[in-house]
Amino acid sequence: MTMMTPKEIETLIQSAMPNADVQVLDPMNDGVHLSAVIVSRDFEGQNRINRHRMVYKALGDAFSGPIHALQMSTLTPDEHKAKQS
Amino acid sequence: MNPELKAEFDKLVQNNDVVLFMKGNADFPMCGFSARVAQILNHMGTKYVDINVLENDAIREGVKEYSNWPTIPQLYVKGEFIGGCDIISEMFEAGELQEMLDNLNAA
Repeated sequence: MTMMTPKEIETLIQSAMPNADVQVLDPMNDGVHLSAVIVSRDFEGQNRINRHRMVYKALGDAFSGPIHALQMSTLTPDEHKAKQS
Repeated sequence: MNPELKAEFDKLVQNNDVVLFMKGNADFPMCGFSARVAQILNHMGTKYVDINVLENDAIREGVKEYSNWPTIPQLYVKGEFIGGCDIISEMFEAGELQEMLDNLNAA
């Protein structure tokens, strides 16, 4: 099974969540253990579980094969700003 | 999902305060994400039931459907789905997990 590249995952999330700013990284440089930061105002008022479910929904059934491990941070624009300052 | 399997999950998460569905077991986790959650619970001295999904395909696939969550590990507290590795790590770092488990012991 071919693994999805970070770029492909970014595009997939982005297309289902047009309001989101999506960045997928490959911090271990192994193409397998990926890490995503998703910033969207759609997360406002949603708890962590719902936010993750929104991203999972965007990814469809990719977890049953082409994505092995994806660590996720789901932030609202305000939370993202606070993290950076 | 199959109602018998659903009833089994219901029983499991309701009869035990803390249940961790994981790859491997608490002593020998078989995946980095499962290992991290087990490590957090061990660190906090939490008593929990570890369910190794690798030993049973019906549970491995069933728990994803039961929780409406496509990945393992999955943590349940008092019958409620709390989240996977990222959420548990965030809650631990924010002190929220400790609070939740303290309330459990007080109840």
